[in-house]
Amino acid sequence: MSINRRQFLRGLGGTLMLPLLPSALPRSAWASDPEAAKRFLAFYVPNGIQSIGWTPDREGADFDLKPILTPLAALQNRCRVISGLRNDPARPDGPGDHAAGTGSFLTAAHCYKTEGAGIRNGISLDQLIANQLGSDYRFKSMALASEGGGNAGGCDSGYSCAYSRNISWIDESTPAPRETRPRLLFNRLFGSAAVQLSAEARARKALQRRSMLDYLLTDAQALQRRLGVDDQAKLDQYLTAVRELERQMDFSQNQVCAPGSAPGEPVDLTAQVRQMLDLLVLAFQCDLTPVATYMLGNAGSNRPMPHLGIAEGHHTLSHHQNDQGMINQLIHIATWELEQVAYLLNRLAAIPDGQGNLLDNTLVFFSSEVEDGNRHRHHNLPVLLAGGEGIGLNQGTHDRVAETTPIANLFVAIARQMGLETESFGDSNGIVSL
Amino acid sequence: MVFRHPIISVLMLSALVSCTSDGPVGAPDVGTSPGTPAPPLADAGSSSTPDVGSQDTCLDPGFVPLRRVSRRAFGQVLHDLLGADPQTAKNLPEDDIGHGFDHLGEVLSFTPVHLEQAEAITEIAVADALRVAPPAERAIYPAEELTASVGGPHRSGGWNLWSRGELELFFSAPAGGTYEISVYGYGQQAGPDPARMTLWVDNAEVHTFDVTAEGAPAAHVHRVAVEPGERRIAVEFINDFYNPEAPDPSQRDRNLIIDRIEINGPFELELDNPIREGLIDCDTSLGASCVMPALRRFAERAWRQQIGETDWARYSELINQTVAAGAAWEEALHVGLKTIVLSPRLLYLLEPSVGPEPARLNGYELATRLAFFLWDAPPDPALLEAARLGQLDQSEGFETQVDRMLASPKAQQLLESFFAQWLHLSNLETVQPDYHYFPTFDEPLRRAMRQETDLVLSWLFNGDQSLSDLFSSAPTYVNDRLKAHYGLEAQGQALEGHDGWFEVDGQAAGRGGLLTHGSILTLTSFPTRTSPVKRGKWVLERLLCDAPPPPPPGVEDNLDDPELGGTFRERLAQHRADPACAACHQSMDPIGLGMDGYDGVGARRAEAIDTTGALPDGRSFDGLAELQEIIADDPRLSECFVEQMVIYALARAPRTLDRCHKEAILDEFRASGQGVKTLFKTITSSRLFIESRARQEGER
Repeated sequence: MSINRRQFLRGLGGTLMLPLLPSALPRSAWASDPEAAKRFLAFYVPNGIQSIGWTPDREGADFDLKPILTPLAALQNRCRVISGLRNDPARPDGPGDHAAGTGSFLTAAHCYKTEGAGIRNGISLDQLIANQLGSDYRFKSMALASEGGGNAGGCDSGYSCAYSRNISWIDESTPAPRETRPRLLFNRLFGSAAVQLSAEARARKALQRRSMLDYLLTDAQALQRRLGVDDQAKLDQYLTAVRELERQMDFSQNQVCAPGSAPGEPVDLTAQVRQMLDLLVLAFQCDLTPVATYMLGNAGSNRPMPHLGIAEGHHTLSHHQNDQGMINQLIHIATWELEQVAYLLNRLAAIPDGQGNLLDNTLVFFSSEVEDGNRHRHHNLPVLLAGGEGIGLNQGTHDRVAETTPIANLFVAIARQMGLETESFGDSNGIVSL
Repeated sequence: MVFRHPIISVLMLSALVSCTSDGPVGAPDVGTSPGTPAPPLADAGSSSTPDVGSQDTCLDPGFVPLRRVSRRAFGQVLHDLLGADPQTAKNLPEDDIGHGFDHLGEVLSFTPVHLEQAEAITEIAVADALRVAPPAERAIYPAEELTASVGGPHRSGGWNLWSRGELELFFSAPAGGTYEISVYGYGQQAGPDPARMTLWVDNAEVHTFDVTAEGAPAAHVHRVAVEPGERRIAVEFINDFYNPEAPDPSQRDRNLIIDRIEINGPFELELDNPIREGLIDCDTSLGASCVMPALRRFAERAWRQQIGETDWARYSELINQTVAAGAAWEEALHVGLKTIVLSPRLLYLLEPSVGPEPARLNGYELATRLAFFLWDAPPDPALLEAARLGQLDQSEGFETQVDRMLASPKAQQLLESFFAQWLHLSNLETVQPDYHYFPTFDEPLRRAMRQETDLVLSWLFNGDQSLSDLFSSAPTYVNDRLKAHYGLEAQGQALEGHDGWFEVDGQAAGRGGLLTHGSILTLTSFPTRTSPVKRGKWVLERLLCDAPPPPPPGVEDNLDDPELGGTFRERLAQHRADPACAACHQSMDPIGLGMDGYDGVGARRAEAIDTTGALPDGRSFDGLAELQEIIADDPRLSECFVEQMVIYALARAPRTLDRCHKEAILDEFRASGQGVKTLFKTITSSRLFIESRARQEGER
C-alpha cells in the first residue's frame, strides 16, 4: 500500500512514460478530410554501413536479409532496399568525407570547404518538403539528434562543424538547429510548467505576445535599412524567425495531445535514442509537424558503444582495414542501429491514422554519409525506404539501380511522392521509380 | 576523426610534405592558394626587429561580419541584466564551431528555434527578476520516506512512532519568511492523555500539539518564521504510554501515526528582491511615470547605445498598446523587459557607425567589442558611462577601461570562452575511457583534471605569466584524487580560495607543465589506449598552428592499432617506408611518442618506455619535460597563440590583410616577455580591434 503511494509520488517528474492516449488520435483519424496527412522522416546513421552485412544478394520481392537487416524481418514487406545510388556532390575537396557526406546527405549539393567564412550547401530535401507541407502545422519541421556538440575545434579536415552536425538545411547557408535533449524537446512540443491561467488571462497574454512580435518585426525592419547588404541578409534570419513565431501562434498549444510529464535523462544510449524516437512519433501523431530528420550520431561519430560491449570508438572501428574482428563489431553496431529503426517503424505502425496507421502515411528514408567507413566512398550508398504505402509507395523489394544513378534522383521521386511538383534536385538527372 | 586548422603554417612548412595526392587543401578564405606557403609572419629566428609590422604601417582593419550573441554570452547577458543563472542559456541550440571557436559571426545562424527558446528562457528570467517574493510552494513529505529514530511503516499507510522518538526531514527554505508546517497524523489513543507531538525547527521546540484524531490523519498546523537555507524540521512523539495490564486491550498502547508533513511557504517575506530593486525603484502602480524611465534605463544598458527618439517612440507605442489592452503597468513592465532582451539590438553586435572607409568605432561599439572579448558578456554600467562621456575615444580613457576590465572578476570568464576552446578542453567532458582498461577513471577524476588545468590557466592569466612558462615553470596543483592518480607523495601548500587543492612540487615526479595534465593526456587518447598520433597532432594544431594535412582516405588510423604487432616505434618505422605517410608522421609521431610515458587517462606508466625522439628539424629530446622545453622555445608557440586570440577577439575567420597587424601584435607580445594578460591588452589597442570598415564589393 505505502509502497504504491511512494512509487506514485516519485513517478511525478521522474522518468517519462509516454502514454498513447486514445484522445491523441492524429488529425486524419478525426478530421472529415478523408485524405491522410503525408509525413516524411529522414533517419541518418554515421560512419557508413558494411555492405557485406547489409546488401541483399537477391533482388526483387524475395530478397534475403543480411545480418544488419534482420531486425526488420517482421517488417520486410514494408521496406525497400535500394542499392547502387551515389552522391557525387558529397565528395569533399581533399579529405573530409564525413563532414561533406553529412552536409550533402539530404542536399545532394557540394559543401563549400570552410571552417568559418562562407558556409554554403544547398536546401535539404526535408526542408523542401516542409516548405510545401509544413505551413498547416505548428512546426514546419523538426531536426532531432542523439549526439550533441563535443568535438571542440574544427570538425573534419577543414570543414565546419555546421556540416558534420546537420543534415537539415533551411537554405544554403543555414542549418536547422537540432534538438538533442528529449526533455527540452518535450517542453517545446507540449509546454513546460503547467501554469494555470484563466481564459481571459490567456487571451490577454496572447495579444501581448502578438504585439511584441509585431514590434520586434517592425523595429528590426527599421534597423535593417541602416545596415550593409551582408548584415541585412543576416538580419533576415531574425525577421524570418519572428514571422515564424507569429505563424505558430495560429496553432494554439495542442489541446488534443497531453502526454504527461517530461522525460528523464537515462544514461543508456538505447534508452536515449528511444526517447527521441518516441517524441518523434508523438510529434507526428499529434500533428505538430509533418517533417522530421533524425541523426543517431554526428558525422564520423567516435562514440564507443559500451552497451554493446564495444569499447573502441565507432569511427576508429570504421577504419577496419579489413580486420575481421573490427568488421564484426561494426556489423554489431549497425544491427543495433537497425533495431532502433525497427522500433520506430513498429511504433508508427501501431498508431491508427486515417484508414490505416501512421507508418502507412509516413515515408521513411534511411542512409549514412558514406558507403563504408574504411573507404569513404560516396557511391553504392546503403539506402532503405520504409512505410508510406498509404501515400502510394510500393515496398517489399530490393532494387538495384545503375551505379551511375545520383541519389538526387531518389530525392526527386520522394518529393513528388510527397505531393511536390519537383522536376530536379541537386545533381539529379532523372527520377528513380518508386 | 581528423582535424586540420586552416591557418597556413609558417616556419616549418617546408618540412612537411602533403600526405594527400592532391596537395594540402588550405581554406580559400585565408587568402593563400593550395601549395603556396604564406610568407612567415615574422622571422622569429632573427634577433633584429623587423621594420615592417609597426602599427602605423597596418592601415586596413578589414571588415567584421555581423555577429550574433553566442549561446554562452547570452547566458551572461541574462545574468548581468536580470540576475539569471547563465546556465539557463544552455536551452538554446548549440552554436556551431568555426576556426576552433563557437562565436564566429559567419558561422552562427539564427532560426525560429533560437527565438522560440530565447523567449522561453527570457520569460522565466524576467519573471524571476521582477518577483516580489518567491512564490509560496507546498512541499509534501510522506512519512515513510523520512528519517525515523523509532517505529515502522504502518499497515494502512504512514509511519508508526510506537515509542518516544521522532521523524526528521531537511527542508531548503528559498527565502526567510513565515512557513506553514502541517503535520498529518492521528493517535492510537490509550491512557489518560491524547498523544502529543512536538514540532522542532533546527534545535528549537516550536510547538506541541495534542493529537486527538483517531483512525484517520488530521492536520496539525503551525506557522513559524524560518531562516533561509537548509533547516531541520522534526516531529517528536513525546508521551508514549504502555500498560499491558490494562483490562481494555485497546487502552494498553499509545502510538502516534504520522501520514505526512507538508510545508507551505514562504509567506510574509523578510527579504526584498535586490534584482528587482536594480531594475525599478518605484511603485509600478504609479504608471508610466515610474515604468517608462525604468524601461529606458534598461534598454540603454541592454542595447549598449543611446536610443534615438524615433526608435524609442516605436518602443513606447508597444508599451502603451499593452496597457491600453488591459494590462496592469506591472505586467507591461514584464512585457517591456522581455521585448528589450529579444530585440536584435541586443541579440546582434551592431556597429552602425561603420562605413566604407576604415575608421575608429564609436565609444558604444568599442565598449561592446571590449566586453564581449574580455568578459564574454555585455558592457557593465561603468563601461557604458565611459562610452557616453567619450572616454573610449581616446587611448588614455580606453586603456583605463581595458585595465579595469582585465582586473575584474568578470575576466575569469575567459577561462571558459577563450582558454578552454583554445585547448579543446570541452572534449574532456565527452571522452569515455573504457572501464576495462582504465578502471580508476570516474567523474570526480574527470572534474579534478579539468580543474587542475583551469587553475593553471588562471595562474597564467591572472599573473600575466609568460606563455612559455606554461610548459616549463608552471606550478602543479592537485587535490587528493589527482594526487593519488598521479602517484605524488609530497605534501603541498594549501591553495588559497580552493578548498582541498594544493600546490605541490611535481617536477621531480613528472608533473609540471601543461602537457603533463591529465586533462590534455586524456582528451588526446582513444577510449582504450593512448594515441601518439592524436597527441602529436594536438600539439602541432593547438599549440603550434602547424598540423599536417589529414591523411588520404584508406590509410587512416591503423598506425596506432596494437594488433598490428610490434611496438609503436616499430610500426612507425614500417610506416616511414611509405613516402606518402612519412613526411606528415615524422612531425607528429615523435611528439606523441615523447608523451607516451603517460597512459590513456594520464597516469604514468609503470613500465619503462622509450620516450626519446627528434623533431624533423633535428632537435632531440628524452621525455616530456625536455619535449616541453622545446615547445616552450618554439617561435610557433607565441605566433600560434596570437593567431588564435585574434580570431577570438574579432569573432571572424582570419584574413590575409590581418597578417600585418598580427606581426605587430606578435612583436609586442615577444617584447613584453610573452605576458598573457598583456597580450589581451595589446590586441585591444590594435587597429584590427578598434577600427572597422564595411565589406567591399566582391571581398570575401
